[in-house]
Parts: sequence; structure tokens; C-alpha cells
Amino acid sequence: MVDTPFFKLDHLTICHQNNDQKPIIDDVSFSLTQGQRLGLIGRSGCGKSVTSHAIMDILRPPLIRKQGQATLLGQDLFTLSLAEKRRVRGQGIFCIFQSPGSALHPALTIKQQMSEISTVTHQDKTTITDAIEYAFDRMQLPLRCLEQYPHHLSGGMKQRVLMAMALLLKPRLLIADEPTTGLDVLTERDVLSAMGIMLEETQSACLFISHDIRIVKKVCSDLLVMQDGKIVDRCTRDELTYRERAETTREIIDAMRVA
Amino acid sequence: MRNFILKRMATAIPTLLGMSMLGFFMVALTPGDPVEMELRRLGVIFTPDQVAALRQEYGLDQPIFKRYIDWLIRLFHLDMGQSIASGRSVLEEFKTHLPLTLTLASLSLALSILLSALFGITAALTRSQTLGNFVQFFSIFLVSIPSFWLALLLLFIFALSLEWISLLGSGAWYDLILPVFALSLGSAATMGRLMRDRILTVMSEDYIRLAIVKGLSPSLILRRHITKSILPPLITNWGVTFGALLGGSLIVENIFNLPGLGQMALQAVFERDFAILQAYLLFMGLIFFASNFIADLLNYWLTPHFRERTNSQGGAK
Amino acid sequence: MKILSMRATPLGLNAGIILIGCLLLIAFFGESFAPHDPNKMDLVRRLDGMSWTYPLGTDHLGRDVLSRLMSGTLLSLGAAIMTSMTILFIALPIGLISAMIGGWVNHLLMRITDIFLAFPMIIFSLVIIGFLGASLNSAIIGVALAWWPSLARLVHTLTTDALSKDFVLASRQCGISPLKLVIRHILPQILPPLFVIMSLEMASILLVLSSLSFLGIGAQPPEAEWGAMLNEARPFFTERPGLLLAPGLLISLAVMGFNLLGEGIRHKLDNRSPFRW
Repeated sequence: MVDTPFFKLDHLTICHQNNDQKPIIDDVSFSLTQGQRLGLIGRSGCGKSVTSHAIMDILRPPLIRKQGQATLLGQDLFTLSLAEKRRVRGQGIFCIFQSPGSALHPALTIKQQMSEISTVTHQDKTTITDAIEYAFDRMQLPLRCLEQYPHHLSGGMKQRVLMAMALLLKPRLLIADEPTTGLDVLTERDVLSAMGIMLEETQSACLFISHDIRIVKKVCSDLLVMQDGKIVDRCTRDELTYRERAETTREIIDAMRVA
Repeated sequence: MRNFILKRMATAIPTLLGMSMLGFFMVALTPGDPVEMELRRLGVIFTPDQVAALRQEYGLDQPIFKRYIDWLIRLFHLDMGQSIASGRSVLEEFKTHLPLTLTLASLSLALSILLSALFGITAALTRSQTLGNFVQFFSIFLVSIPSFWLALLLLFIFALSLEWISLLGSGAWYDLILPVFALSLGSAATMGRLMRDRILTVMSEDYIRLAIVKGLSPSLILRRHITKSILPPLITNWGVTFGALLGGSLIVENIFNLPGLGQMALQAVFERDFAILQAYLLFMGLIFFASNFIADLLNYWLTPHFRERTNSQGGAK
Repeated sequence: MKILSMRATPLGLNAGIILIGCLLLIAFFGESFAPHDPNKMDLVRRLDGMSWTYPLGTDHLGRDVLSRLMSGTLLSLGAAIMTSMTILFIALPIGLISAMIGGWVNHLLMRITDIFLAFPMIIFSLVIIGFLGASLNSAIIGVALAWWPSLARLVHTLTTDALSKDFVLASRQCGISPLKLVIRHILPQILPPLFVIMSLEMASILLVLSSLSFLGIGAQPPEAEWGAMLNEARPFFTERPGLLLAPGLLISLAVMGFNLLGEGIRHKLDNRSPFRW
């Protein structure tokens, strides 16, 4: 793939507000081309999720961005005004986080949470209803879910509801932050295949964050390995088996093999 | 809905009975024989026989439990006895004084809710540290000012310095403006702090993160996602606050010389008018109960999701 | 991902500590440092303005306002402390017993707190005072009777939490006596949070007690309780409104001190981090 990158992250560094000791994210750079699926793996707590928060610009204090630049289609994301940032969120970059259990609003029906997307995509009522029904069909969700509240749905269904939202938004870049954590193997397979369908349909690029190299190998063509806030290795899926990879990569591969 | 009401009523019965017992025994166990006190008040010289006869007439020779039942039956017929001081029936006294207190408390609740939303939303959503700190400090300040002192300050400013209003009141509707403000500011600040707290808690939830990432506008997130989550506990709190405002009206009625229930009760304390005090306690308890009940109903109606009833606990200050 | 934020000691907490510290100093030493005898009347100089001899002026009986405020600090704070001690004295055993015994005892006790909580607190206090006769003692009893149920509920909740800890369960299974269990395991767990709450409650108790005195059904003249001083000064509101300034300010500062203290500690324990758009 030699397309010009349409999303670039340069020299992202994130620190703790009050102490300038070791940064949480240390000079991370990577780029994605149109439609590319990039995996980001590393052990828990190495800063994967923080990276995704930083890209969406929703870091919470005490974490702050020390330096770095994110460009989507030539737009510098971090210097945008609040209103412009809002326009990038959703249709530009959308994010599916881990723990689907708490991701949906407990007191709004699924339908309410789906159809409010029309305020972002500027669709009228019938268009959005049709789109929702189509998306549910693609994600193999029964339509009766629409009138239900999140606590009526299983974890896998909730995650597929989030995928359906992505289908409506058609983001240029989708960040999937451990979307299968906490799901059993069969549900995981369903969710992943739903995600495959969704990505195919939206033609989005995807940053897939996981600690599970097995899944990353299934989903992504390229991958980054993160350790203590640094990118320590980059390779394609096919290069993974080679033994001359970085320490951390080998560790992860070995660990998977034992399991 | 009807099931919910019936269920809620049924669970309330023991509490209501308990309330009535508390009210009854408070009087029954107060030292001093009511008959002797009454006779002494009238300045009548009495023989032990006469006292015994009177005691029989009042039913005081009956076992205490029987007296409680009789009293309860009379209560159901709205017979709450007579005020010793005025000689009028307690019911009459209430009819005269209740409307003012209810108006005062209701207006104050409305104003408190309005102002607390202003305080709470500003304090929670502002990105300016200075403004946030200012609102926080100002609200602690308002919480700490006693309402009677606030009322006196307001009177000092508007009646003595600016001379916009008369100290004695004019009998017009705008007499209520200052009392309502004096009564509301403290609870507005308390409620505002609660609201800020709730908003910040909700805003650290994952579903707000999703709403932001979806690209929804801040106003939609606030109107829909945040409001939907913070409203139930706030409504419960409104019910409790109404009770606190009923109590607080004691003080402002006194300062602004408004003839409400609080003034009546205060008078009764000085005159040791037990019939009035007993009725006041029960009545206020009942109104407080009703306000909590309405809050529960509102919650039930507004949030079909939270159909499982949450216990409204905690009293009013 | 859990990030505990270590915040610097907030300004408010410091301010609260300083305020309460000053008031306690005045409470203990105020009477001996007061420029005049707080109850000495000087009918020639009634309702005087500020002067070098009488820094805050004199009241309607020619008594020095500053001296009265200083000597009244002990009474006002003392009454609030007495009240909260009484509340703890009732609430602590009831909360502990109901949580530890459970079953119908718990049910009954919690029902009783429900009944007390069904009345607005200040109204309940007022009625109690009505039956006992107006005095500072009645006010303390009235407020304590209105207040204990909410505290008892709190103790109940804290104790239930404490009882569910693994090490408590373990020592219970080892057959530790209930009294030892309470002293060794329960109290050390529930007292710290309880005292934070009590600091906030002190603020409300101070407010209510001074309100009752202001209404004339708490502390009675010539006691130099702050609320009672305000009550005494009321008839002279138009003549000398300044007389109502100092006691009210002092009450507000004391209440604010306890509020800042409690809030400050709570803020330090707070580790929420909201998302911003």
C-alpha cells in the first residue's frame, strides 16, 4: 500500500498534569492509509486506550497532551475550534470502546440513541429510520431491540449496536478499542464478523486496539506494538512469525502460543 | 401506574401509623395533667371528685391504647381538638394559616430549582477555573448564611437603605418577593452543589464519552443524556427540600411578619398550646409525606427505565 | 484504567481549618480576654456606635457587643458540640446494633428511623421544644431527637459495609465476641468517614440552633448566644441595624468554617474525572 496517508499522528506525548516525570505516551507516531486496518497491541496499561482518547481529544485531567499533531485529510485536529472538532467526531473519526455494558445510556431506548445520529448526519426522519433498519439488518440485530433499553441486551448485542451506529455515521476512521473484551469466544466471533461487514460497507480505515494478537491477526493487515507508551515494533501481518522481532512482540507471540 | 400508587400507599401505612403514634404519645406522655392544667387556667377551684369526673368526661381514665384509637378516629373526622389560646378549633386555625405557608414554600421551591440549575450547570460545565471556583465559593457562602440573617440583610438593603418597600409590608402579592428569596437562596445553593456533583459524576460515565464521540452537540448531550440521568435523584431531592422549606418558612414568616402556619406554631410554643403543636407536627409530616410521594410519582412517570422504585431516604433540614 | 489524582491541599480546606481554629481559640480564651464584662449594663450608653471603649458598640442595655460575642462563642459552639455528641450517642449504638444483629431488630429500628425522618427536621425540633418549654437545653434535645435518625442510618450503612470485609468475616468465623469485633474492627473503619460527615452536620446544627435561639425558643436572654443576641437586637433594627451585623456574620463564618472543612476533605477524596467536549 503506497497511498498517501490520510490520517497521521505525529510525536504524540502525554504526561501527568502535575509531575513531568516519565510520559504516559512517549513520542508516538503512525499513519493510516485509506481503508487500512492497523492493529495496536500491547499489554494492559501500556497506553493504548489513552492514545485513542488523545486522538479524539477527550483526554481527562490529570492527563494532558504535551506535544503532538493529528491530521485527518490535511486538517490539524488539535488546533480546531470546539465546533469544528465536533464536526470531525462521529463522521470523521468514531470510536467504539471496550466495556459495551456501560457504553450505552441506560435510560434511553436503543432507538433514541440510534436516531439522534441524524443530528450529526443531517438526515430527515424517514431516511434515518430506513438507515437504522438497514444497519440492524446488516448487524443481524432484531428490530424489536429498538424499543428496548440497554440492560435488556446482551454484551455482544450492545457491541453490535455500536457497530450499527458506525454504519450510520460512516466515519473515515474507526477506532475500535478492545471491542471484544469480556465477550465469550462465540460472541467475539459474531462481533468481529459484524465489524468486518461494517468496515467493508463504510470503507473506513480502522485502528484496532487489542491485547490479543490472535484477534489482531484476524482483523488487521499491519500492526504496531506498544510498550510503556512507546511504539517498539511495526510490521505487517505476514512478518509476525519471524523471530527477529522486538522483545515485546516476541513475548506476546510466545504468550499466545502457550495459551 | 395505579399499581405503583397502591403499592406505594401500602408500604407507607406503617410509617403513617407510626407518625400518628409519635404525635399522640408526645402529648400523652408530656408531664402535667391536662385536666388540672385546664382548670388552673380557668382559675376554678376544684375538688378531687370534680377532677375525676372531668377526667372521665375527657376519657382520660381509659387505658392509653384505647385513648389512642379514639383519638385516631377523631383525627379521621378532622377533629383535632381546640386551640387553648384562641378557643377556635384547630382545623379552623389551619384553614386560616395554611395557604400562605404553602404558597411561600412552593414559590421558594420553584425559585430554588431555577437558581440551582443555574448554579449547578455553570459550575459543572464551565472551562474557566476562575468562574468555577467563584461559583463554588459563592455557593458555600450562601449555604452558610443563616436564612434569618439573610432576611434581615435583605430588609436592611431594600427597606431601610433603598426604601423600595415598607418594613411592615403592604398586603400586596409582592410582599412575598423578599421572603421567597430569603428562603430560597440557601436551598438553591445546596441543590446547586448537588446538581454540579451529579453532572460531574454523570460526565465521567462511558455513555457520555460515546455521545461526545458520536459528534452530538453539547446542548443535546446536556438536554438529553445528562438531564435524563441526573433528574431522578434531583426530583427525589426536591421532595425532601420542600419539607425543609416548610420548616424554613417558620423563620421567614417570623421576620417578615407573615401570618402563616409557622407563626401559628411559634405562638403555640410560647402559649404551650399542645393541640396546635400536635396538629402542626402531624400536618407538616403529612404534607412532607405527600411531597415525597409526588416526587416518586414524577420519577416513575418520567423514567420508565427506573420503574423499580428507589427508596427516598434522608430527612429535611 | 484508574488514575488517582493527588491534588494539592485546596484553599478552602485551609481556610476552614483556620476559621475553626480561630473560633476555638476565642471559645476557650475569649471570656478572659474580653475588654468588658459581657453582662455589665451601662444604661447611659445604650445603643452606642463604634468607639475605642466599645469597639463594636453597645446593645440596648448598654452591654459591650464585642465582649458578648467573645464570651458567647463558647456557648454557641458548645451547644452545637453538645448536640452532635448527643446525636452520636443515640445514633451510634442504634446503627451498630441494627446492622450487626440484623433480622427483625434491624427491621424495627429502621422503621423507627423512617417515622422520625417523615417529619421536616426543624419542625420536629420546634414541636419538641414546645412540649418541653423554651430553653437552650430543650433546643439541644429537640435538635438531637430530630437529627439522630439520619445519622443512625448512616452508621448502619457504614457498619454493613465494614461487616462485609473479608477480614471481618474471618474473625467472626473464629468466634470473636461481638464487643471485641466492634472495638477492634468496626469502629476503626466507620469512625473516620463518620467524623467527616459530623463536620458537615455541625454546620447545619449550628444553623438550626442559632435559628431556634433567634426565634426566641432556644437560648434565652441574657445568655450571650449569637442567635439570642440577634433576637434581642431585633426591636432596634431600624434604630441601629449595625447591631444585627456582627452576630450574624460570626454565625455565618462559623458555619462556613465547618462546611469548608467537610467539603475540603471530601474534595480530597474525590477522584472523578469528567469527559469534556
